[in-house]
Amino acid sequence: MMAFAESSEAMPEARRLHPLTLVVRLLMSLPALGVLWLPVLWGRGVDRSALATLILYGVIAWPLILAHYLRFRYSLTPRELILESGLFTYRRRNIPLERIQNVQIERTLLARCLGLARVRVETAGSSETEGELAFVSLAEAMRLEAQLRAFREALPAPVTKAQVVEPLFALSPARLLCSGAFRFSLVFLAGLFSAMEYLNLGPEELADWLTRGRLRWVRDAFAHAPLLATLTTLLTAALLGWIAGIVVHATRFYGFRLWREDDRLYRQSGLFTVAAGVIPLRRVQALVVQTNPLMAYFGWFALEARLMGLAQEQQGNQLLVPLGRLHEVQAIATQVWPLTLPETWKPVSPRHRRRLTIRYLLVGALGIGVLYLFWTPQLWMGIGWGMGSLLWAWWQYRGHGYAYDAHFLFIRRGVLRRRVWCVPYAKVQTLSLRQSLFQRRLGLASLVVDVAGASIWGGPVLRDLPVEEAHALLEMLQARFRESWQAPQGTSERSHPV
Amino acid sequence: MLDGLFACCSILTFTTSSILDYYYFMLQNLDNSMESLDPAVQTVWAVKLGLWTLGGVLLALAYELTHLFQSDRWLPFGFWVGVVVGIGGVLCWVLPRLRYRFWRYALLGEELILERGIFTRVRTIVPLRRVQHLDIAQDLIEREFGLVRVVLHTAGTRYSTLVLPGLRPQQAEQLRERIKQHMVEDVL
Repeated sequence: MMAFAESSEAMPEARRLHPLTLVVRLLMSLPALGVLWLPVLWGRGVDRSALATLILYGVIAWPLILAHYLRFRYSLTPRELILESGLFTYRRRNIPLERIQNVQIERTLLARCLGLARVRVETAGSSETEGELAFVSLAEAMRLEAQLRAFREALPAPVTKAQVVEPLFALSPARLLCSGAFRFSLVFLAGLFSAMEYLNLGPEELADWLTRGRLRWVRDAFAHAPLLATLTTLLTAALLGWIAGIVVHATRFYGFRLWREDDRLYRQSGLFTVAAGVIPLRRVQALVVQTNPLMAYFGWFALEARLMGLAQEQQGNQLLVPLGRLHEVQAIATQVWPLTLPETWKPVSPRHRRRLTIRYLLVGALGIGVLYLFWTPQLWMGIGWGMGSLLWAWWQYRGHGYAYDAHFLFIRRGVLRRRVWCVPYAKVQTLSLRQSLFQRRLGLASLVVDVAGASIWGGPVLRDLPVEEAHALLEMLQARFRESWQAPQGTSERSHPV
Repeated sequence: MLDGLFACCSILTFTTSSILDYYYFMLQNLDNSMESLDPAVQTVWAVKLGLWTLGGVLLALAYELTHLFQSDRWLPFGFWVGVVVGIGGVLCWVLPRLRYRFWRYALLGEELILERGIFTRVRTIVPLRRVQHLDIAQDLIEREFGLVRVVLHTAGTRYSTLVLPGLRPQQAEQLRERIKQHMVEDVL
């Protein structure tokens, strides 16, 4: 018996996914069929083409699902995780266990009903999920996770065990709603409208239907005052977008908890799909404190960690604090690095304002010029744009600035999406000084601090510093970077702050 | 007609003079302690630009041929081809030279410094321990001239791929060896 176990460990049998995966896949493919069959569902009757699509679907989709299931095999050896797949092109992927950084067990609503789980394996090199097992039974997922951990002790501890630990931060239901309310997004609205368009449900018909009975006076009022109708439509749209935003946000961040074990932060949230994540502290590259004018007015902030090489498919995945007061944000940030958010900011050159104004004016002139081809622009548009440009540039300038202390560089920027980047000197990737033709004439330079996990837009960039100041700052950053890595070898990563 | 010609000429003179102005101003500010690229890279760039121009010429030619028998055409045959050849020729002549003049690099201690750009000058400092891996690459045209380029990859976003063109193979090898000494396993 013992010998058998040993031999099976040396060459473990390849396993298949859980058979119920077929059911899940089938159910997940149904919406596509629904779209194809929309005319039928809409009561147009079953005609020949509808029947043909159904048959095609049966002949192609179902066998594909089955074949995919039959061809997919995985096995776990003490050295690597092997995934075999492919219907037409056979693919075998060997993931060495020492490269595995993180194992995630994810359970969607459907999977929870069927007792299944999705296992994701993330590796050091790539920024996305390297291996995915969708779906295996929960017990099998646990077994895999336990075995992976046994083979590789460095892996983060299982999430379920950590429930006992006192969370560093948890989102109460009231604050959850509040946090959704600040995230107004027109994306949901666009989705809503396109869905309505698709269902042949025009806004006018909807309005007619809504106002058919006692609300008839509304309709009459609209007929008399088109402006009122426009305003109401806009307001309704905004309201709908707002509510949709709250709902989406609330389902994603329901029951948000953040806790710490050793040098890892764990986060877990979600109403239908419980997503759990691990943030190894030494992989954090930068912290970003986010807010917008409305949130800032009520004193709310969000904290985000930028990581290197972790799955980035979920945008909110790295949020450490979805919504919190400044002192809470500060407290969580301190868990990552001993930093204090600065009180005072050094502004960039006032010429930044002028350059921005000119840029906006040029864009406006171009826009009005294009408009002129179709329609005579009004004078007020030009004046309005001019005033707007001035104001906006001034606002941008006001919000832009930097600060630094012994270990961190802080860069603040943005008007509508205000961000404070906290970058430890040791985590800087490259430093660049940019000078365009015009900046050269005005004696300005931009400093680009490149960090892993920074966004291309709104990253840690200081625009239009006076050129001497930029050079001095560059040299300081260079020197600090060297210093931070000259710390004696052998001390743990966390003992020198970063 | 003459007025238009005059206006064109004056605009052209103005732009060239201001560009030249800027160019000399910039040249004074160049750090001459840094190294230049191999001069042959100018020819490589010129050939590449020439190929682009050739593409443009073909497009222009196709346009002219398809519009050859249009009744209301007033430009002589070959006008657009001439324009493309003219502009392309000037660019092929000027751009590689300017680019070459402004390219500088240096390997100082644990940092590689790259300076480049004609209109927008960029000075990038790459700490060598941040280099994740580096390639030595060569395309067909570069092979003709015996040049290679070194491509550095970092984990950053905006400047995550940095290209140092116009090096002799042995130069590139030396550079690679020196950079490799400073690269670390774990770049976190």
